[in-house]
Amino acid sequence: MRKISSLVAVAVFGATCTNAAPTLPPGAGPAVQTYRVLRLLEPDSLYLTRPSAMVRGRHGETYVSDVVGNRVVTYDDNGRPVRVFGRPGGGPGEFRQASTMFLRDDSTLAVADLSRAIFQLFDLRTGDFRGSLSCEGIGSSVSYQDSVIWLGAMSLGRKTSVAALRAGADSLEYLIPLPPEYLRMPWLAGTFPGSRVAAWRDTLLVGMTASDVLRVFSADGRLVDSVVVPVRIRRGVPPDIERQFERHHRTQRDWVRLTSALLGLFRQSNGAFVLVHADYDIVGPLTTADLFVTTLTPDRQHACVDTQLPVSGDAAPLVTFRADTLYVMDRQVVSDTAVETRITAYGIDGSRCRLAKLHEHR
Amino acid sequence: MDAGEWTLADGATLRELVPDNDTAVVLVADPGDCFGCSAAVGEWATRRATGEVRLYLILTREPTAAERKQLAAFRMPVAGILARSALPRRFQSMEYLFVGGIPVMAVTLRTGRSSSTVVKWARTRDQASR
Repeated sequence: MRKISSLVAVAVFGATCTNAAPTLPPGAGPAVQTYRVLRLLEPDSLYLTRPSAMVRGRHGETYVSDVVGNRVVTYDDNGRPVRVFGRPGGGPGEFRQASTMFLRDDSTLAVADLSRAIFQLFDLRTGDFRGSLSCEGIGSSVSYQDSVIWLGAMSLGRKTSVAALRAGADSLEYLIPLPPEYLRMPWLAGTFPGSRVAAWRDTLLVGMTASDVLRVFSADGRLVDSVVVPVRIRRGVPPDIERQFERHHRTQRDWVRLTSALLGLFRQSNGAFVLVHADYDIVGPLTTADLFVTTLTPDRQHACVDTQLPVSGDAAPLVTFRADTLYVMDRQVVSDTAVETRITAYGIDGSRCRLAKLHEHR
Repeated sequence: MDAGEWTLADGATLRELVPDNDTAVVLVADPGDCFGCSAAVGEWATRRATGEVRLYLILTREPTAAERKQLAAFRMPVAGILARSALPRRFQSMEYLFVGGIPVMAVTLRTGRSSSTVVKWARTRDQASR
């Protein structure tokens, strides 16, 4: 477990300025209960080089895409590899940069190839390639709501942050405007791409990677309200990030180390929301991250902020969510030629927390 | 001097590293070059692990702790470190195809993908020699 960084908490909780995320005094974040730790078996013929996304299936299976190995490996509920989808290459069913995934119905696995801005579609039962689906922008999160699949898909061309795939449709709809700061600063979008979406009934909660602001939209794209997620122990997003971008020449590593990134945004069955933030670092070829969990009450009026999750610090962890369970994939180097991959299932409970009042974003 | 004569820190040459009757790919790489955008090295690592090609990774310097972790994630053992004196003045990370201890093909190691030409020859010549 990485050492929790000690931050001098500046108690501006309750301040009226709402563009910056309020910093809370030290205290307990959401309660985190470890349900299970699953170690993935990775034989030489089927090991993960750089996992890029993870999805849990209905039957306890886990799909892991590999952006370097350029395939998707499916593991059963005991961590054994049971199926492979795709392979490296530029043809049908092949990948140059396998990344975000989603499951459509019970029949199709869609896997994004970032280099070609498409989702490759595979038959879940046979593994056969079934076609492709073009996607403008970078798909980075998925939310299932009745018959609609909502993708956090930031498109600078269309100036939208969400895409929807409706039942029976063979193309994506693009909606939800990008927030003003992303339109003003294309380099912000380039450095911190991606949007996160949680959908329920006819409402969407949308967050951008480099923002502590969450916006609520109706499904037809109308902005309903917005809130600022407070900071307790994660870095948060500097309130003057725009000015810093404009004034300072920094390396990518500097920028990555400047801010927290919203890695996951999920909705629990009781209506509460789970947010996962990552404080990334880049050390040589390695990208690592500290992870923090925050919950929002169903009415989005209060938050329970920043419980740090234990990770190895040897790789960038991945997260996914299913059936009120947060799954975190972490990798730990155990020898010069071996890495162990573990998926930890967590229950997240913010109900017994000392809640912080959320403020509307202006 | 051809790459087969380059010496490693332990005094051996690349030629001695690859058995005379073998066909193999030798990556000679600056760790700083080859791991930033590591798809090519990752591809080669996968081909090595699955037995598709025989592969030797030679680095131009000792890897850093972070680079060691990346190599571990790729399950890529380091076969040797190039002797400082052996390093050409204008070095580029390269993929070499060795046949019978002789480098017969050299391609610049790209960050994005392994060379399909080297893969093809390493695979087919290796299979033919079995």
